[in-house]
Amino acid sequence: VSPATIRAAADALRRGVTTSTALTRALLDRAQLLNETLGAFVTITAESAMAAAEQADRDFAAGTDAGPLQGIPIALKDIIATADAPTTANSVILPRDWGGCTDAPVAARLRRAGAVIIGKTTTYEFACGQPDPGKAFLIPRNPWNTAHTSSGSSSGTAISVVAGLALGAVGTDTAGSIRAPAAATGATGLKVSFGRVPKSGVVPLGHSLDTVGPMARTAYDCALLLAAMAGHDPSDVLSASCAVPSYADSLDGRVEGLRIGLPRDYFYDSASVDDEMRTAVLAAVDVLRDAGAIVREVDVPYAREASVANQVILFSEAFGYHRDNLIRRWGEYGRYTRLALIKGGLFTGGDYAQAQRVRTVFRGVARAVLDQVDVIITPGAPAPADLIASMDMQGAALGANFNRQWSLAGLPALAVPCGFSSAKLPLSMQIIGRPFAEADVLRVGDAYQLLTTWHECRPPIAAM
Amino acid sequence: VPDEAASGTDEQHMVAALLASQGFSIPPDELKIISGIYDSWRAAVNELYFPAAAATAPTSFAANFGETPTTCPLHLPSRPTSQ
Repeated sequence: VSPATIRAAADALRRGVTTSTALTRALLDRAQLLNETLGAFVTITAESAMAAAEQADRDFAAGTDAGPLQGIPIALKDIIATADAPTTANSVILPRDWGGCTDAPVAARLRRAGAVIIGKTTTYEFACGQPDPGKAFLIPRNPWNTAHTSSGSSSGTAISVVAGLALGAVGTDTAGSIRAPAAATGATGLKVSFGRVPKSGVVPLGHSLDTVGPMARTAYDCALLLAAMAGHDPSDVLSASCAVPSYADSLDGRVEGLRIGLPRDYFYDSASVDDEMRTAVLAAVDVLRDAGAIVREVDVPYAREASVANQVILFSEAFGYHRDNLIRRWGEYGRYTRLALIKGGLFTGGDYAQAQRVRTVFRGVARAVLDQVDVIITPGAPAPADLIASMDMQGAALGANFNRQWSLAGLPALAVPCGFSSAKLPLSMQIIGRPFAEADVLRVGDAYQLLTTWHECRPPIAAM
Repeated sequence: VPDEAASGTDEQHMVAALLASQGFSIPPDELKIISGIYDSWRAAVNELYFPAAAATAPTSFAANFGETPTTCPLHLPSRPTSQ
């Protein structure tokens, strides 16, 4: 039986209970067995993964230890350039050699830390829209019930982690693309502060909002991944220059005195919030309260406007990137991708400028709230995962959304599983922190996971 | 823009003309959908023009990045303040 977490696998590798070669082989076999069913991977890089695993084992044998990721099989969203596989963005539009056939800085950092990259995971095309069955890519499916969506856009990233095809994975988040699939599948996913992880070599969506972050079974594993991924890189002028703390060292399980803000209006009281989701998140907050946290209600005005402003900025910036290809190759884009991207051609310059003003207003709102409390907790999504057959990208785009506000403000936010619906689909809470306070949100998520077992639940398909 | 769009609503004509002016040639069935998307989004986007935002000094694109926290704010604790 393969270890379920990076932490456990790192320990097993150092105790000689397993080898990276055996671990990688086992996960590759499972990925190849389940990929047609789950649509997790666009490309499985078996050959380069086994070579990297063998190197990790040689390093262990020689006494070389690059840290907790050495020999750990992970996966990358297929909008992140790597040297050993094409980057498709799940699209026929992108040249297969996009990124110059070299590792993006974040991929290079993970390899330097000894991680074994086993493949490139499925994304919604160009990280937006929804899957188009008419295109030649697998449809990503929820491991808990394959009739349901895994949400997106980092769909395969979440699936690979939850179905036990990788011990950790990397996604991107511009408006919820890590947190939404983590919520839908029961993974733990971190949207980092804007600039925390360099995003050069990553296909852009909304370049003033895009972030690259980890997903895993636990907050602790996300901390291990983030420590290797974070930090300035000169190839991304927007990457932050501040020091990278040892995130895992700050996870001491303590939340005594921690101040949690609950924004009832919009985030809990919207008509579209599913009752089971609301109940599960409030129960999770009670767990933290019982452990010593102080819970108070806070007011977060302009939540709906911030959600809309995020979309105006995102699709305006995405349209700028895609316009020429949309004009020349309209039909080659997936139907839902082109209908999403074209919105950016209908917003005016004034709309974009006004959305930036709303961004300034909402940053002020977030700053004021986070002066009163240490973290904010909301549902990770309004409801459990939809049926694939009833996905409605346009309808959902204007509905209640609890992720986009924090992308707009550039804040870190962690999705943590906190229960299951009566239909046996995961429920999730979102923990939001101050700029660059990833250690805080990880600390709260880790403390919760030390007190609960939701993150340990595995879908039956993971046992295959 | 195909001729069929000529039989659409004023809004569909406007959307078709706007996209045609940028060089798009989009099938009529999708133009109809895009017009509906435009309609719903226009109402939402108009709500961004609220007084508190209007009172905010307009920021240039470069200034916006300047406001984005790409450097670590030193006054923020690495752990919850109450710990």
